Amino acid sequence: MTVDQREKILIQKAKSGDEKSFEALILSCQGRAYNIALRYLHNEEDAFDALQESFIKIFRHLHKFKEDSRFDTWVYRIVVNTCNDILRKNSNLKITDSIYKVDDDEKESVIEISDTSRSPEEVIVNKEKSDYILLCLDKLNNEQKEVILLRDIQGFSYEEISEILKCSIGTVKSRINRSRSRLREIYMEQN
Amino acid sequence: MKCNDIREMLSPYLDNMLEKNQMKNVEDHLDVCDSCKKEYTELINIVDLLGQIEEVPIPDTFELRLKRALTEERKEIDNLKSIAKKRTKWRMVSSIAAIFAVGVLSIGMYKDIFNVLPENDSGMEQAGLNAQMDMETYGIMGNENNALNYKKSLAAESNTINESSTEEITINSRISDNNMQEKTIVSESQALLFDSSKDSYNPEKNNDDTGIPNSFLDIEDFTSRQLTKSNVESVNKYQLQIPSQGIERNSAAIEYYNNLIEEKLVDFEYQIINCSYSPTGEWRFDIFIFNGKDGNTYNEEIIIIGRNGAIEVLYANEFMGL
Repeated sequence: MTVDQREKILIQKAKSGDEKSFEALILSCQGRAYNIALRYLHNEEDAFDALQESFIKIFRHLHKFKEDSRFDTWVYRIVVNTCNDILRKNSNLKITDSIYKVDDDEKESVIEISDTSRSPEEVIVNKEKSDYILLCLDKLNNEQKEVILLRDIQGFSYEEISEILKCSIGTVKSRINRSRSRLREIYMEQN
Repeated sequence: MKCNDIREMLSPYLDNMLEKNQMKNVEDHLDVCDSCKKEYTELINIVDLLGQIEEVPIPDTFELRLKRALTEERKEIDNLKSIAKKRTKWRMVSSIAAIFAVGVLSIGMYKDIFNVLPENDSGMEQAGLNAQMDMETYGIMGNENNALNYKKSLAAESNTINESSTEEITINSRISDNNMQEKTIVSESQALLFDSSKDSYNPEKNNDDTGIPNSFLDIEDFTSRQLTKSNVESVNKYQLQIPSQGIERNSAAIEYYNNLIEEKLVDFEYQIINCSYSPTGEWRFDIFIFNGKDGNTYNEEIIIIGRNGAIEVLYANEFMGL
């Protein structure tokens, strides 16, 4: 039995109310779904909420899922939309910490991220850079961040991204290009 | 090719998403253009860094939390389904009971006219128990004033009509399946029956002109009367018409408001869980919203009021866009 066939059987069972089948279905995509939410929303608790809300939506609307498309991209689409909803709801309350600070003489300079916990020999340079690139990523708008997250952090193909975001591959191409370009500018400004 | 054009193609080039000839163009350009080459190198660096961000394992507590949430969700769905089933069953049972009750009371009223109205040979017609008991008849009875006003004027003058908050409306099986709570009208339909003999009906003067003792219009009196006649028309004849005619407390009104609600909540996922009528002339619909038109999950109740042929959202989450 192929993976696809197995998935189809699980979907049919889950549609008829079998909770175990539903759990098995989402097990395969919950890790990735969690990381999408985490990178989107920046904290565990919000990511938890987004994931839980997404899976409840999936549970409730499973009967609407058309089996001619992929189940995991449908799941990730719901997760992305749920994260966007949460961001929209929180947008009035959200306080964004800028990576810039304003000095007394009103010149902007970057807040230094100092590493106080490890000796220089123990510093994992790449991890520092990764943390920093995440800070830069946060400077992008939601649309730009979304496509970088899906392509460069999660590794989805252009086709998968077009299914998740419900747009053409041409749109995916131009969004990825613009978003990376903008991210590069932000990153290079500081280096 | 120009640098601007090349820079637009650097990302798909990196991801191997260009046509072969386009790939060649970019390669050739990068061989000779240091500026574009520098930008491409920086792009690779950024993408590499992003690719090194580790996947965070999902905490164990999440699975437990999700299971609990799914169980709650399933219970809620089952609960709403069982409420729907119970209401459908109750509606059928009380439809039958109401039809019977109206029939019994109508016969009682008919007999009563014979006993009460002095020297009046047209008791049968006055009772309104003929086959023409439809909107026109009601129109004759109250073409300037609706039943509600009539009743209120009676209550104001006589204080005999019982305007309890639990007055009921008869709903026939024509109503669509939307979990409406049933109510049975007794007072109004019976009171209206008496005045069908009046050609120039004026409800304001009814207490003086009808000759019907005010006490006669007491609901309690109605319910106690014995039936002796069986020539009662089908209860369907007592169906009241569209609210534009002024008589709102009826099955058609519920259906009417239900249609308005369906239009209002066209992209929502919802269920009407309760419907009630207040003596002030308002229909109240308690509606459970599963999902909004934007696809968001709400799982919240809203209230929609139907009044004078229009609906108004009384309470709703501001994000629902209502």
